[in-house]
Amino acid sequence: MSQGRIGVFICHCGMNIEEMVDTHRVAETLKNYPGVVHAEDYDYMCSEIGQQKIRDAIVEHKLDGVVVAACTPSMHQETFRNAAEEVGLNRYRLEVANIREQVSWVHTDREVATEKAIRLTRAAVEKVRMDDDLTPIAVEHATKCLVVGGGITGIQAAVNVANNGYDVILVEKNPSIGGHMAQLSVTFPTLDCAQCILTPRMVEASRHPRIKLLTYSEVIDVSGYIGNYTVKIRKKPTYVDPDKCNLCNKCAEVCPVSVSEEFNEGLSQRKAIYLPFAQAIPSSYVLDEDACLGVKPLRCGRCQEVCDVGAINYDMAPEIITEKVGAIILATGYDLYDPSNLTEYGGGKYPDVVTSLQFERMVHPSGPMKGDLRRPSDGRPVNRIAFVHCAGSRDPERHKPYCSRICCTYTAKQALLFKKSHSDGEASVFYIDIRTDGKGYEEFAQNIIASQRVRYIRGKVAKIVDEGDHLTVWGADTLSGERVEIDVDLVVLAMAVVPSKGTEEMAKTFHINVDENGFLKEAHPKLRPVETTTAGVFIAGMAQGPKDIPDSVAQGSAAAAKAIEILSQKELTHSPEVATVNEELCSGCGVCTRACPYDAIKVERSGIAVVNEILCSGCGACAAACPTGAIEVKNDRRVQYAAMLAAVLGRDE
Amino acid sequence: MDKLKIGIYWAAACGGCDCSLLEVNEQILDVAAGADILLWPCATDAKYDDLRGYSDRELDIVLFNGAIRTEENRDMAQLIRAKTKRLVAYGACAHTGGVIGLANLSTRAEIFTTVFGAEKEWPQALSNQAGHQLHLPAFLDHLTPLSDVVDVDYVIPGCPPPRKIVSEFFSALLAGDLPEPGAVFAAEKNLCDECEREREHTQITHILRVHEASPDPEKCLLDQGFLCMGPATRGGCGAVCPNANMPCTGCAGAPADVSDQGTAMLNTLASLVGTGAEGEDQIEGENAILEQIDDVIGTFYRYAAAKSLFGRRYREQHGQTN
Repeated sequence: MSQGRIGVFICHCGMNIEEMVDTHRVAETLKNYPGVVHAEDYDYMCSEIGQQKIRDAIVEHKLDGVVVAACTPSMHQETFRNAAEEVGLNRYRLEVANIREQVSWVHTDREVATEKAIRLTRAAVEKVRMDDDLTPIAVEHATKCLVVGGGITGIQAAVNVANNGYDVILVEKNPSIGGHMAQLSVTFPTLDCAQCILTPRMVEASRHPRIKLLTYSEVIDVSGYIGNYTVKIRKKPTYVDPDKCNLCNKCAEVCPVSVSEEFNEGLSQRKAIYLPFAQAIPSSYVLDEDACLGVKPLRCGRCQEVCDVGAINYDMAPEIITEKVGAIILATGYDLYDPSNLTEYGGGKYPDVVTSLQFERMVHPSGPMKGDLRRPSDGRPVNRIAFVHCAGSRDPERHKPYCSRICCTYTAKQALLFKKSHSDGEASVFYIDIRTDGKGYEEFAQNIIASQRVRYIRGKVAKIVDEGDHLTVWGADTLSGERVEIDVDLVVLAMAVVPSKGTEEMAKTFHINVDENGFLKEAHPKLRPVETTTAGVFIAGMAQGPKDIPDSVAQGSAAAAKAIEILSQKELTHSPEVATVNEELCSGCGVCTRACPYDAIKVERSGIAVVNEILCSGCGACAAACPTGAIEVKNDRRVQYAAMLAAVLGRDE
Repeated sequence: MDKLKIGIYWAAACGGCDCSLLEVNEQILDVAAGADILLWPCATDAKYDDLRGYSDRELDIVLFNGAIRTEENRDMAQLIRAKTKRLVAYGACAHTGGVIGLANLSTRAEIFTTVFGAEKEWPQALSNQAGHQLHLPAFLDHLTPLSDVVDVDYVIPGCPPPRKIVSEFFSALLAGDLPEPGAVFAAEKNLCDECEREREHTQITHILRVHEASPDPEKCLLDQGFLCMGPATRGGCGAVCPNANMPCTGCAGAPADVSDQGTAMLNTLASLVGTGAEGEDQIEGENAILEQIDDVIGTFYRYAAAKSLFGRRYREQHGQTN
C-alpha cells in the first residue's frame, strides 16, 4: 500500500497526445488529487530526460508510487518500471494510464478528451495506491531448442542455434529435409543452382553434433511454458534402416506399387519404397506405408527379399520421442494454392496447365523430363508458352487477397529459362503489375523483359481452353484495350502461396494464432516479426507470410537469435502479477480450471485451487469466473478496480 | 439469570420463516425456558402499542423475517430497531428481498393493475368504508431488504432458514455466545464445498430444466446442464437441495466475498458453457446455449433481485418514467 506519496507524469508524446489533451491541465488537476505529492507534464516521458524526471522525483519527493500517463503500457511500461527500479522503487508500484491509444487518438473534442485523460489518470492513481511490492518469480529452464520444419528457414535457424552452443531438435514431417527449395531449378536473381547452394546447408544440419534430426516426424503435443516446454514427437516408421541402406535401388525395382511422386509435383511416378530425391537427407530409401500393399500383415515382401544389406525391417514401429526444450521455432513453410480452384484456367484438369512449381521440376536437369521441356499431355515439345501471374493471389473476392511476393520475379526467371533453351520460342506473360521488390530483382526482371523478347501483357487471363493439340488463352491487354487470344503449348500458373497443410492445427498445438489468411501470426507486425503471443515460441519463413529465400533465411536467423536470448539466460523471470487463491473462500468447485486458458490452475486433493504461478499469465479469467471471489490477481484486486471505477465514473468534488 | 427478552416479527413474508422456527423441534422448549417472547404476531397477541411501550433497547434480540414492501413494514422495522439491542435479518426476504423481490421488475402501477384492475379499483391509503375511516399502509414504490431501512446485526439466510442453522443460532443465543455483529449464520464458502456430487469440470453443452430430465444423483448438476446456483450461493445448509436431487436455487445469497450473486453465477456459467468449437462458431455456439436459459433474472436473482446491482426497474418499458 502506498502511504500517499504518489507522483504523476503526463506525457505529451510530441503532439500525439498534446494535440487532443491539455496535459498541463491534467497535471495541475492531479496535483490536488488525494495522495498525489508531485505532478508534471513533459514532451517525451520515454526519452532519457523524461525517465530522469521520474527518477529525480522519486528521490526528491520520496515517492512510493508512480503513474505515467502516456501511450499504451505495452509500449513503455517496462521502460518506466526499469527507470523507477534504478532508484529503488519497487517496479510493480508504477502504473501506466493510456491516454494516447485510449484518449488522444480516438477523440476529436479536446475538452472531452482532457476530462477523460484526467479520469483515467486518477484511476491509475487509485490502482497504485493499493499496489503491493512484488518480486519477480525466478524460473529454471531447459537449454534445448525445437525447430519445426526442415526447409531452408528451419535449417538456417537450427544451424544458427547449434553454432551458438545449444542443442537443437530439428523436426521435419517429410522423409528428407530440404523443403521446397530442393525442388527449384535455379534461384533468382543470380541463377544459382538451387540444390548447389542448399545441399551444403542440409549436410551441415545433418552432421552438426548439436542437431538431432527427426525426419518423417511430427510434433503431436506441447505443454509447458517459456523455457520449459515438453514436446512429444511422433516419428513414423520408414521400415528402412538408414545406416544400412546403400541406395542400390533394388527394392524399388521390384516394388509392384506406383504412386504419384511428390518431389516432382505429380509429374512422375515413384514406387511405394523410394528415395525422396537424389540428395535426400537422411540418405535412405523410405517405405511409404500408405502406398505399400501392406506390412501388417505382410502382403508382398519383395523388397525385403532383394535387399542385400538387410536394411528393410517390417517390424519397425512408430516412436514417440519426448523432449524438454526452452524455446521453439516454427518454420513450417508453404504449399501452393490448389490449382483446381481455378476452374476457368482448367487448373488441375488440363494436363498442359501446370503450376509454377511443376514448371521448376520440368526444366530441372534432374527432373522428370531431364530438363527437356515437353507437354505433359502428349510429350510434344513446347514452342509457345504463357505464364499467368496472380493465379489465386490478389483476388479477394474469389481466392486469396494478398500478394504472394515471389511470383513476379520467378516468372521472369522461368521465362528466361524457357527462352534460353528455346530461343525461337514464344513466351507471353500476363500480369497485373510487376512487383519485384528484392535487392537486384527489378534489374533482373527488367533485363529479361527488355532483352529476351518475352511478351509482357498487362491484363488478367479470363479463360483457358484446351483445344487438344494446343491451349487457347483468352485475355485482355489493358494497356491497348484490346482482347488477346493466343494459342500456346503450355500454360504456367504462378500459383498463390498458402500456409503448408496442417498449419492451423499446428498453431493450436503450440497455442499460437494464425492471421485471416491462415499464416502464423506475429506478436507485432513491425517490431516483433518473429515472436508470437506465446512467450518462447517463434516463427520464421513462409509459414509467417509470403517471402523469398533471403527473407526466409534472415527470419530463420532472427528467430534463432530470439531463441538464444532465452536459452542463454541463467534463469528466467516471470511476472509476479499472477492469480492467488484465498483458501478461506475457495470451495474447490473447479470452475476456474475450465476458465484458465493456460492450464495454470488446478484443484488439489486438499479441495483448494492452486495456481501454477509460472504458467499463469495474470489474465484474470479465473478471477472473473470464480463464483466465491476467492481468486484475485496480485495488484489487480477487486478493491483496486472498485476504486478505479469510482475514480473514472465519480463526480468531481 | 434473567430470562432473555426476544421478539419475532414478520413483514412482507409468506409465513414460512415463522414455521421454520418450529423445525428445531424440542429445542423450542429450551428457547421458551430461556427467553420471554415479547413479540410474535404469528403466535402471540402483542399489539403495536405494547411494543411502543417498551423502553429503547429493552428487547435483547428480534428475529425479523420478510421484506419491506409497505409503509407499515418500514415503520415497524424502525420501531423494532429502536426497541432491541440486536436485530436479525431472518430468511431470504429480510436478507436479500427474497422471491417477492422479483416484483421490482414491475412498477407499482403494473402490480396494481394486475391485482386490482382499473385504477379506480386500486385501494387508497385513506378511505371511507361504511362510515368509518380506513387507513391502509401505503404500498411502497419498490421492495427492499431489511438492511436498506435499518442497521442489521446478524443474518440467518435461507428460504426458509434450514433447521441446522436455526438450531445453531438458538444454542448460541441461549448460551450467551453470539458472535460479533455482522456475522452471517452460514458458511463462508459456497455450496459446492458441502456438496458431495462428483465434478468433472466438463463443458456445459446444453441447459436443462428439472422437468426435462432426471439428473444423475452422483454427478454435479451443473456438469449435467442443470442450472444449479451452488457455486454462487453461500453454503451452510448442508447442500440439502442437491442432496434431494434438485439444483440449488440460491436462497442463502451470495458467498461472503461476493457482492452480486447473479453476476457471479453468470460469470461462472459464461466460463463453463462451450461447444468445443473455436473462432466465430465458438461465440455462436455459446450464445445458442445461453439462449436456452428461460427467465434469466428469475434464475440467477431468484432471491436477490432486490439486492442486485440493478435493484429494480426504473422506467416503463416504453421509456416513460415511472
